[in-house]
Amino acid sequence: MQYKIYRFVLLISLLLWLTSCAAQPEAGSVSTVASSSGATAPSNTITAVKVDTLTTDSAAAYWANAPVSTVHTKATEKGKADGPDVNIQAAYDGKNIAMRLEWADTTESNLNKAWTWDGSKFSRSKDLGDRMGVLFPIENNANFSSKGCAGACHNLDADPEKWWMGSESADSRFDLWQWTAASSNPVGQAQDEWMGAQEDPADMESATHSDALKSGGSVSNVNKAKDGPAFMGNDLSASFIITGEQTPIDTSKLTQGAVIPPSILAPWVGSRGDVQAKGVWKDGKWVVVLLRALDTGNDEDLVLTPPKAYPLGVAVFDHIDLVGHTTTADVLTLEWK
Amino acid sequence: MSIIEQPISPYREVKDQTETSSGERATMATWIDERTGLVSANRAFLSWPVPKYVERNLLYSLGGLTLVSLIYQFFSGICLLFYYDPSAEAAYNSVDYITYQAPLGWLVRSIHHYNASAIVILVFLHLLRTFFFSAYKAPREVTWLSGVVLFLITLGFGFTGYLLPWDQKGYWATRVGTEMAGQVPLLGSALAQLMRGGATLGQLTLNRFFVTHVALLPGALVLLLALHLYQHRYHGVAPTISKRGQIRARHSVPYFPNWVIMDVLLGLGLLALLIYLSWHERAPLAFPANPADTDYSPKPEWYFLFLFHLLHYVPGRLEPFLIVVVPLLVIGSMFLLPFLDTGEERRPWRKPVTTAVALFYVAVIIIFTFLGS
Repeated sequence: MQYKIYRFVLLISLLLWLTSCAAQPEAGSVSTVASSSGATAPSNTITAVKVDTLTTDSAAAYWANAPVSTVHTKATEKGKADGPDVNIQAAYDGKNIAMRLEWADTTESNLNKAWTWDGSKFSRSKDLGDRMGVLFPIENNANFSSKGCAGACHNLDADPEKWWMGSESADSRFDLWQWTAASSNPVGQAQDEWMGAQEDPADMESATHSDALKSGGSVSNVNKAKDGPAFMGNDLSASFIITGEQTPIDTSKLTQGAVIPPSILAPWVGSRGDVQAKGVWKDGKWVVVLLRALDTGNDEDLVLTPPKAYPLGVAVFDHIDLVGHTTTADVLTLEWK
Repeated sequence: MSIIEQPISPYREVKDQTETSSGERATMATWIDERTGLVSANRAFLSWPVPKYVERNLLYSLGGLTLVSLIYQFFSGICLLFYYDPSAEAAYNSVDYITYQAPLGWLVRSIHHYNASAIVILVFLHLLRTFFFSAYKAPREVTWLSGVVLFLITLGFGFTGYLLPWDQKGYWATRVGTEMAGQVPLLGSALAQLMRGGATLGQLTLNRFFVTHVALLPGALVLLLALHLYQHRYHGVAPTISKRGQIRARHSVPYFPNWVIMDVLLGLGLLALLIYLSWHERAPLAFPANPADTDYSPKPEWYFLFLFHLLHYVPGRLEPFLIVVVPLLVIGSMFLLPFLDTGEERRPWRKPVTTAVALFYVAVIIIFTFLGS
């Protein structure tokens, strides 16, 4: 009898140990937060769920099953106010990944340095549009993997003019998906860019490059005298002009205070247009869905290989420039379910 | 009369019997055997009589299953070596390549990962079985001692292998591990220096851990395993403690297939389990090691968790004491066991003190492992 008990105890021990090692949590795991959809996810981990087919529809049914990670954004400038919390979800279908980002913004800023007609002349507004960026290291990057956006942001100098974004060396690059309410959202895209090392110390954005472009993209809507727009849209109430829908500017049709978009937009064709996007501002918040192929086949893009986990960072620009934007303070991790 | 010189071999008798029973057919096997003696040696090896109570008994297959598990580990490790680059700059990328790009690399690495845990579990259970059956008693002290050292070697494999991916988990766990070693009174700093190859973890550390993992420990393992198995053969299977087993011990069965079949089936079952675990969740690979990331919360591999977690319960000044005393107590007890427990009694329930001490150790290890996880 005792012999059987010993044997039973040994077998139970074996099972317990096997279970414990199989269920061993990752080191540095983080707490979970409740999500609006009822699912939960570790706060700094974005878990992409597998679905049949992806779209840029932010109301697609599968988002109800995707865990929501709520991440906080902080100002890059010391002493400035924190940015909004961003609810992030992700899904993938074997060929593409989609990310749904939602954040509070009391104002819809979808014009970027637009022209304003005062009844006698045009003036250029200094107002900027809302923007959002998602940043991944293309190569394995220990610094970014532990620091997140801070691993790519060189903002320690007292003079913000000397700050720059990019990598420490040329063999380490970042993939940047930059959605802008004014210029990329109307064409259903986020601009696909990459960042390397800083090329010009005097130019803080010299590390950032747009991906290759075959055709398309925006052109500046400015006349030869550079004192006003060259074109206006068929729909004067629209915040954007799509190529082919513009007509030469006719001030007789403009009322005082009319706003003319500063660019004529066309979708990017080529690697720069790899990221589809759809953003909607409603009820004081932006909801943006980004969609991209897991492997675009382009060298300047990160190849996403489930189930490998990827570090990433998210930045929110509330109608403000690079210096004033807010970013996720900790590294975020994209995982796959 | 054969023209071939007959070797003086303990297997000679078996060989002659085999030849008599199978006639004088000039088969390839007899040709090889006449020149090498390997066939008859193999026959003698396989026909080794073992007590009937080992047949279809899971507890007596733990050793064989451990051996099968070690073979899996050896072959999966060799496969990983084809791609692994032991340099601090490239180690992570090579493991990343193995895990996400190399054909079936994920499977091989995951099997290696899960099997490392399986080996620790199996060796531990094998030690427990040997302990509770009092199989360490004379004349099997050397079998027991070699088994204890083999257990320590498997832990050494785990400790050194953890660093090799050069990811955050392995880097920081190793840093904590070497810092713990550095707290050993008198020898600490020299020991830490020996492990790291410098003041901090770097290329030299990776070199040392890699060489230890793929050369020193496997060499030691093979030698000790040979001694362990030879001792096992030399002394035979230890007497059983159950009455039913004692009745069955009156009969013997050949090692092959009666005992081997269980090891083989369990080995295949283990392989299936390893493949399932690998398929269910690939071996983890944390983000690349960042020595500057002081916020990282290190955690050792689960089989060192109990010791790591125990440290939470002692004041900092007592840590060196705990780091030295607990392992010394446990390992020392294991080494001294066959020389302290020299009585005739083999049944654990009739040796309450020895059994209670062992159960206390096991309980502490299991409880603190779970608490630490």
